Amino acid sequence: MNSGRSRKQLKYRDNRFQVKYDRLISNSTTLYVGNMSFCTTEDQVLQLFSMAGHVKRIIMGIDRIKKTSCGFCFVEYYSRRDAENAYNYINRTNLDERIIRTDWDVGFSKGRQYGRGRHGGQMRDEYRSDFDPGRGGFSVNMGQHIGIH
Amino acid sequence: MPYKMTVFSALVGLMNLKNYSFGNEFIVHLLSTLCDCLKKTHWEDAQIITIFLCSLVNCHSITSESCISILKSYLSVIEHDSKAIVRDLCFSFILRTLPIVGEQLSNDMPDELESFYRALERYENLRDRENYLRLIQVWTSDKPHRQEEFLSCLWLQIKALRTNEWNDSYYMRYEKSHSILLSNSIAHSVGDFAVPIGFDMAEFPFRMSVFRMFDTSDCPEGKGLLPDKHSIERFLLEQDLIWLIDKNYTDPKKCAVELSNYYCRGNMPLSYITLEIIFGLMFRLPKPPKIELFYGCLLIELCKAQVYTVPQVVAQATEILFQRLGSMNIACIDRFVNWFAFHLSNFRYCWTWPDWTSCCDQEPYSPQLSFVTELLSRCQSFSYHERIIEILPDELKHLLPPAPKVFDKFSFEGTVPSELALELQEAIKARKEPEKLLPILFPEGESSENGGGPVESTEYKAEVMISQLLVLGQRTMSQTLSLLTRFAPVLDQLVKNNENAQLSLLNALRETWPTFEQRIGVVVDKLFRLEIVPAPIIIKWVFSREMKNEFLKQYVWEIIFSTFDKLCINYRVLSDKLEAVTGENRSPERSEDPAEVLALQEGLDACLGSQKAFIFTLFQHFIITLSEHLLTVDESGDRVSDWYRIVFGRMCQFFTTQCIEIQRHSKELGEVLFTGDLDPRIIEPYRWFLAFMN
Repeated sequence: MNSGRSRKQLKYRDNRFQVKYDRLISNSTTLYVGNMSFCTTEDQVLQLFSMAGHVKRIIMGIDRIKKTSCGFCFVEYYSRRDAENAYNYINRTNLDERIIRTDWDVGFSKGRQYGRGRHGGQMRDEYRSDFDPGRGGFSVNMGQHIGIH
Repeated sequence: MPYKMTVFSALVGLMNLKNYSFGNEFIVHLLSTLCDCLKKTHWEDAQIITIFLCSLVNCHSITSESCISILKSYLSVIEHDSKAIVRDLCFSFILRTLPIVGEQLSNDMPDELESFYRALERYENLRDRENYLRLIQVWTSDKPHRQEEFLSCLWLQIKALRTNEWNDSYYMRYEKSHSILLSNSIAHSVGDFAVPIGFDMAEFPFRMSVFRMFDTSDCPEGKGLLPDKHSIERFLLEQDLIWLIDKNYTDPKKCAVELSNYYCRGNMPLSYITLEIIFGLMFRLPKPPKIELFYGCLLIELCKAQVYTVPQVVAQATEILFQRLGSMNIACIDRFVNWFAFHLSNFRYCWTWPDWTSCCDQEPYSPQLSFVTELLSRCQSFSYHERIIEILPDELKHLLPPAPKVFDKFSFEGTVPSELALELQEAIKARKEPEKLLPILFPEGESSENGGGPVESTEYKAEVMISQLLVLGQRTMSQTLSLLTRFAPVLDQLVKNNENAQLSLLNALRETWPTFEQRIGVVVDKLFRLEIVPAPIIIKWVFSREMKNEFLKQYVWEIIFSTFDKLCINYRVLSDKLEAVTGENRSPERSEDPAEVLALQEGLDACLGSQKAFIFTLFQHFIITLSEHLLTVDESGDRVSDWYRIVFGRMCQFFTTQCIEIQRHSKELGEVLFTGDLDPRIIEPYRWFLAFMN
């Protein structure tokens, strides 16, 4: 009996969270932008994303330890319509000659600008096996591995 | 899916054959939907339904009498309405419907069709179709292709169709395969259809010009011929492709696939037509149907979808556009620069740059030199200085502005450092609260009566303050903007109600970032949003002597138009809020709050006031500046210059792209600014504007 109630409660919370998330996404004016070069500047992001409308704010993703750009950012528009245009048209275009990805985001909150990988950057860079000159070279794990040898 | 019109009309015909009452209900519903679209001013939807409804005559679902009766309803409006724009709209409805029904009508009731045609001819002959054309042509030159007014071109295409006995070779007439069956159908009569009255409050579609860029000699041999530009087949193909693009505008990749798979009868260079259409939409005046970025992305996706044909045609088109810059509308040149820089940034800036080195010998601000300079500046914004230097031939490198570098004139080597600058710098660096800066800027007892040190002017203080914020925030845009936001109260107190101080602020901004056009635009935007600098001051600044060397550059006009755009957006936001509170569609939960309504109404009025002030200020400056220039030119006997071409073009651009907002004040503009005593060359665009909006 107790076990049954506990499971039911958990499911209810999950559903409620999902509904809230969907509502936030459907009203959002913020996009997450990924696969950026570490060298891409805010000004370049603005140049590209302004083509879709008036940009309110750009927050660059930062390596938690080195405090340098680490390949992602958030772009917030004043209006939902402009954000929709950016989502429809800028996804998979080139920025600094790299194909970037855009996705809806529930909205920037403090702390989300930092990379969450163990070495300070993004998670995805912990496990890359390729050499990406725009993202610091080899993945940090592979670099460390080679160093050990 | 209007570009599959004949598939569905044949389907309806066959269904009507099987079930008469279905046919009747379908037609009644279609008629009802048509009236609904007309009332709601969904013009393109109404046009499509009109064409589809009338096309049912080919499948014996409606009678020929009914078909021509519908068309006569539009003709009736043409013969009775006083507004030219309404008459032209109805004329468009008729002309765009005739190609699909002409053959059937000429078989069934030739005399009545001929009589109808004569009535249309009379209207076309008396229609005013030239006075506004200059505002909306992409190119003003008639060579090599005249940019015709849309309805005049369509009329010529209809005439060609009639000469060919109303036989087109475009439509796939599926119903002909079932003609014996369908001839047994019982056709429906359409009840009396009257175009719904109520045009007074309506918003009408803009008049258009037809974009023409290619001719047969541009297309490779053996790939078929472009249909003649005055053939009905050309019109119908273009219309279908435009409908297809419109349907897929949220997904450029899918749109490109659909365009690539598009089938049309006959051998013809479809990629040339497709690209001409896309450029035509992108360059359409007053505004493209969708945002410019969509067309940029669509062209990229087409290059990927047809890698062996489209990129070559895009390059050819670009070269043609480049060669014809001399007569290109300034608004379209801006779009060309923006599109091509974006395009290059997606293809590693690969271009046959050496082909364009000859423009270096041209006069400053001549069309091609100006274009290349603006293009390189834009490419640098998408990328960085060293990268663009790397891809350019030596002859073009000097056209690229230097890498952006901040210039602090208050601590420049060789000059006495400004004490005020040093104090402010230290205070800002120490993260002092904004109000702690006020004693530095306004020391106690500061007055000439006291016989103290030299009194520094407010203008000087404004200059120092903004320059220090920009210097300290130079590393990133966010730093700059956060410092401006943090110290906005200080700036506001310095320059409030002081035009000269506000102008000093803007001049100092440009001096501090002498070649960083994008940053200047961002900071002006921020100062405007923070309400530190009002819109009319931005106009004054742009036309000031200090901005003489920047006046013809694209970024300056982007600042002007972007500022007005923010006023328009603000109006739309407030309108939507007011509608949500008071409109018929408001949700039941929201009871009308008189205080809220009043506040919103006051906000709207203030917003309209700001728009009006902007419009009058800008036109006033245009008139003064152009008048002075023409006076000088006339006295010295010089020909009008590139300077004139650009500035005059900017005034026309404002008339065209902001025509809806300007229309509210058109009468007063004629009484106050565009008066009879002005040079006719300056009044002319105002008259074009009146004709365009009438």
